[in-house]
Amino acid sequence: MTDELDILLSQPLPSVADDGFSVRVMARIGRQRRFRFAVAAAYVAVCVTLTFLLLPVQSVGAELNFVITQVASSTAVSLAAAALILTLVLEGQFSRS
Amino acid sequence: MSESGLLAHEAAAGNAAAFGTLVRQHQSKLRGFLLRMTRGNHALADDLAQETFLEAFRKIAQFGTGSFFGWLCAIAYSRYLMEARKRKLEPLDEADDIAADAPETEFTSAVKLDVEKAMAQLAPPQRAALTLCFALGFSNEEAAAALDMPLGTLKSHVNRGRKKLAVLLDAWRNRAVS
Repeated sequence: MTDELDILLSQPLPSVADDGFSVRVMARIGRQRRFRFAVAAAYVAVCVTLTFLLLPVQSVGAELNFVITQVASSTAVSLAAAALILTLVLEGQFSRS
Repeated sequence: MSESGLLAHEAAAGNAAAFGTLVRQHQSKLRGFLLRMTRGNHALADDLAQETFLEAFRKIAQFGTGSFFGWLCAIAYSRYLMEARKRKLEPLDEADDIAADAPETEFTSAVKLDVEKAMAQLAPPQRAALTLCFALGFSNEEAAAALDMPLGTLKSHVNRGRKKLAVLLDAWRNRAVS
């Protein structure tokens, strides 16, 4: 009986015809992806809008402009940039030779 | 790596068509497994199979190596258990309607039908363990991983399930003879 039972149990499961099942699954996946994209896009749009509405964008821009001008006209920063460029050039020369 | 494994990695990289191929490749076996778990309830088995594939797509990046179908079965079994718990107060299926609702394939001989009816009498873990280990050819280790249970527990479910099936089939056979 046990052998007979094992043989019966080992019969493969009956095949189930697709009948549009795969198409339905992929359609649901497509809908979910579009929905998630729409939610993410709406979230980003809300965040950007709130940022522009609530943050003092103009004064932040003016501060940023001032800092960039200060950094660009600084002697120390210019010397550091020159040293960095020189180091990279020399490293390239040495590695080639 | 298996063909399914490669397709799963393509799907994880954003290729939805690769996932479509996986669905077509595995839908029959997965729905067959769930049909047996739900004792022949086609509508519920198909709902669970759809939810399984949707969850698999969401978590596809978590699939590592190993059998993709085993991974699907793990998701399907946990979904089945959740559904069974949710429907605690009402029967999960119409167990006695197996003969009427069984798939109309070559699976129609009286003995096979008896096996299906006997299977329906088993506890879900026993049914799942026997189906994975025998009908779907999983190793004990693969089945234990898919059902999220220790190897010893799986073996005990297989043994107890086989014994109970043998008793049920013997009893029906004797009744038919007498």
